[in-house]
Amino acid sequence: MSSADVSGILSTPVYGEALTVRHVAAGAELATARAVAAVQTAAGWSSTAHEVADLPGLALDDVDAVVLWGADAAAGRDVVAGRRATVVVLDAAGTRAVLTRPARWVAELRRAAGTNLLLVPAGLAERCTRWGPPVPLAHRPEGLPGDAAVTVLSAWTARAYAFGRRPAAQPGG
Amino acid sequence: MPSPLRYLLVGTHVPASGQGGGMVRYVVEMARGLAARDDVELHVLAGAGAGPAFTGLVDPDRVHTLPGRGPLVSAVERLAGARVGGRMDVVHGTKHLLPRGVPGVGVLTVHDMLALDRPHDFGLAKRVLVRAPYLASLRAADALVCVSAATRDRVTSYLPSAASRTTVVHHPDGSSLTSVVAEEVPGLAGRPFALVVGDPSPRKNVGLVVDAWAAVRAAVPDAVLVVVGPDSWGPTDRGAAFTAMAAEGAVAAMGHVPDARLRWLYEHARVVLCPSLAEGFGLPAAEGLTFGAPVLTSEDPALAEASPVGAQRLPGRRPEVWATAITEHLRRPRPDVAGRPARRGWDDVVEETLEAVRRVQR
Repeated sequence: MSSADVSGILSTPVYGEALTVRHVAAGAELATARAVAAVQTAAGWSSTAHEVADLPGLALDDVDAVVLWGADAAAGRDVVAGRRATVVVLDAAGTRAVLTRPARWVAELRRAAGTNLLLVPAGLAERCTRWGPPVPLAHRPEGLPGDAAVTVLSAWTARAYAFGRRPAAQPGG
Repeated sequence: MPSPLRYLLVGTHVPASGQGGGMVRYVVEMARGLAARDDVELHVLAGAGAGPAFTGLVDPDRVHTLPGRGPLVSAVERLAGARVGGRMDVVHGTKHLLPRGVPGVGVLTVHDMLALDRPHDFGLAKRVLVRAPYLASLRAADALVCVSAATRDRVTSYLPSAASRTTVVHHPDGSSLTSVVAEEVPGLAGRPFALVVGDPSPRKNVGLVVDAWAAVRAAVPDAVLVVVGPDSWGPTDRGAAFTAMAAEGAVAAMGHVPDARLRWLYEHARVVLCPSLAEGFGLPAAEGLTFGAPVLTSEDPALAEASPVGAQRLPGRRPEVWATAITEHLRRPRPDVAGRPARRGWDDVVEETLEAVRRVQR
């Protein structure tokens, strides 16, 4: 496994705690999400990837975090509704769409309370801070689904619990 | 000898008593340290009626006041330059905002990025009014003084362009409590107790250890969880089990306690708990180590930075893991560990802040 330095994100070993994670994606992002889930599973997490259409039927009671990839999956916050720590991962096109299309901007604002963490490309973070809806923000790691990038994504996924609203129900508690 | 730096320290959140949490203490100690230097002519921008907080520290003629306090006045604070006569060489914002209209090197101390990381911990007024001017102040400052590397990392997550303007100046790693004589807290002497210091805001995650306490009590029936801290100024989460646990004496919520008693609590706790989900610095972890206490922290990077050795990290979302670790500490006597000596004080903080100013001036 990669030795990416994630101490600025998480001070415990990234895979020291076995998290249960559901990735939800569509289109090109689904392949990336599946590869990320495979790397995380190999490291000891219980991580699976699903099509957007499957989200309403997913059992979330024992899930620690939901990772929503891309604009279509990001709408899944209406289903997750803050029940679980939720990470939204956008690519450059998705980020620009939020910043330039009023309907997308308003939808993102409406879902802000259900967003524990939004990961956007580093080059767009500043624009996102200036013009985007107010959500906790960090940088989408480059090189996904490479091991080092997945380690960083995993650290953010574990850290996401600290940002945004506390999920209404505690897993494993 | 060159003229002293005309230095405006913004302390509009400091009450007249000069007493308060970390951000208040920061301003008071910075004022004390800056005023003692020959190379600085210190001015302070204070809230209405808060001038007495700086009596004895700053020449009264150099304490400038705003017309009031609170979020609305914070917005006005950005435009407060006209209230301060003459040109300043340095203008130093210490809580979110850097006044506009005051010429000079702009320095902003960044304690944390919680207004952006956890906006729902703030009331509607602060959420709406503070975010934009905070970001504008972060963009405008010539130097950003971050109290931890963890805070610096959060700043650059939002504003990558700020990286070259950031400097990490840690708080002192000792504790002001070392200057007071410990005073026993009635009812706790000889009892096994764990100490958690923090208000009941959701970010502090006190609810996690409260909800873990039933499992702890099952293993150590006379164990007490001592909770120290003021009421939350926003949303509150004391844990679902708080009322029942407090009623049976298993949880002792003490609110604010005097420094002498807080020192005693640190000195006698079997274990100090720092479950906070997000911190800017992590003072309770540093203070626990100062007094030789075993310390458990969440995985928050700022807490890890404040307690680089000697603390155990636990996931901040797993009450059952905390219950197990706490029980182990409560079942055995507190280890006889020497406290951690302080390696830096407020003079170091002042000097390193001035060095950040000098770098801008060069």
